[in-house]
Amino acid sequence: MSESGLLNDPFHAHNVLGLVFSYLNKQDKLRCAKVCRVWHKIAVHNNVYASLSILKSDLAFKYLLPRLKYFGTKHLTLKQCHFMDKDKALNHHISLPRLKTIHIEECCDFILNFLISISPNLVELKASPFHAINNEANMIYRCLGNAFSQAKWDIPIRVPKTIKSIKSLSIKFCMLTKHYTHLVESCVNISKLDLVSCIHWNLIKISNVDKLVTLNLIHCDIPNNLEKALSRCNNLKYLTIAPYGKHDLSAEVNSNAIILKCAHRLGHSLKIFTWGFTDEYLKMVSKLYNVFTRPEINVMRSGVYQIPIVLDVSQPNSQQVFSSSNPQPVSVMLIGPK
Amino acid sequence: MPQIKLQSSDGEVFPIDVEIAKMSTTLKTMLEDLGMEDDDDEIVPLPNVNAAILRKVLEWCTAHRHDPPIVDDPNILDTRTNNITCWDAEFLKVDQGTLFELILAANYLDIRGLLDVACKSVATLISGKTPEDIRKTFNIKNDFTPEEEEEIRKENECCAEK
Repeated sequence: MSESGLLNDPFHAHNVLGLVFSYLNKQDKLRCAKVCRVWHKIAVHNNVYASLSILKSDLAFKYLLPRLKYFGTKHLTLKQCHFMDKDKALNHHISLPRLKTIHIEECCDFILNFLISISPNLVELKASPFHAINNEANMIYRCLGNAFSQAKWDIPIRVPKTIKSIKSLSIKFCMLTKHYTHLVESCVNISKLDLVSCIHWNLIKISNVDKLVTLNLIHCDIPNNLEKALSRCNNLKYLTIAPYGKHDLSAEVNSNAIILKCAHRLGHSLKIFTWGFTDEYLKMVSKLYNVFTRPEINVMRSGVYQIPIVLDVSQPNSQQVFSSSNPQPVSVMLIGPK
Repeated sequence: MPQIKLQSSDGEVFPIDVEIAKMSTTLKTMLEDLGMEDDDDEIVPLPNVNAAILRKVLEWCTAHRHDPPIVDDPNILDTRTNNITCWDAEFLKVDQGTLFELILAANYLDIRGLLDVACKSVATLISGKTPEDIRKTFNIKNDFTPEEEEEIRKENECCAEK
């Protein structure tokens, strides 16, 4: 074979192009797919692997890891996956330097830990250990399941003490056990943290809040020490708090009181986005701050649509109850089902 | 300075500094796991790399031995090809066959910097070109039937819209 025609040869083409393609942008890959049959196959394959989603599968690390590495996979999504060869995983000396994001749902913690430990340049991690079940009462079930998964696969791999690369971390449906708290704390450069339906979290332990810009607490219990914890987030710009749906009004008022205290302390440049305020509370709040509605987001809670509100605490508004800049009066905050 | 010996696929033995060998993640892991550092006479066989390519690889490693570890910018792996240094550009002025062999060797030995720079230099040959130009560059025959070409054209139109 003539030397310059090497990439006609399937062996060379597969081995070399598989690597090279991950350095090309999408347009170039599309053009490559038009070159010849072999290239077409590789380009299609490569596009699939660049962002890989695997759902409900029994997998083997033995096969998956070399492929992830070879194709330079950047985004990996695993949902309800089981690995048959967990015991062998530790013998692989593979690292995945090109993996940027991992979304992992309903897989055991072992897989999560293992993938973190071999992905030195991970930027974004979304972890949701257990299934999102609509019924709130199932929270307990999820927590039990979580505890069970911890016991069963009790982590032969530890997450590294400091993970410098991760910038964005999202944890869903999880009881923040020691392990998860450790995970959050290891991410020393984190700028965005989402906690959705998590209980037992304790921000105050986290020592790396300095770089935190966005904090979203959705359906989490609001701990009494939130105010103190937030006081250490010097660079926080966006805070979303949507308290866990309690039917008990006094509990709600209590968590709102905590949120307001936080708002007051954090002062300028912060917008708080929350819902679950009662009418009386809103009247009081709107004496202090500008209140904006967010009618584009409807939230169904307790059988009633509620429109979340944004408190703009950047300009304390002690004089006017409704400033003219308010797009809508506060009294339309609660609307019934349509 | 401690040395180890690497043996290429065609039997040539290269004594090299352990420090340089460790730029290859594969060799580093091997040395650490097997504790081979103390054993001077051990020869590490590299059945996938021939002498000519291994010499090239070692040349690159020697020149880059003082490089800081690769710092990852989330965007750096995107199609940037402009950060190939002059030395590397000169180093990579080889025929395509050698370039491909280098990529394979860098992948096998897991030398991140070399793999990056070699892949990027092939990527520059491809980037921005029409399929016909690519075929000319790499001397590739178009083996699609007209029907297949039409199908791919449609396929690509769908992809491009996303």
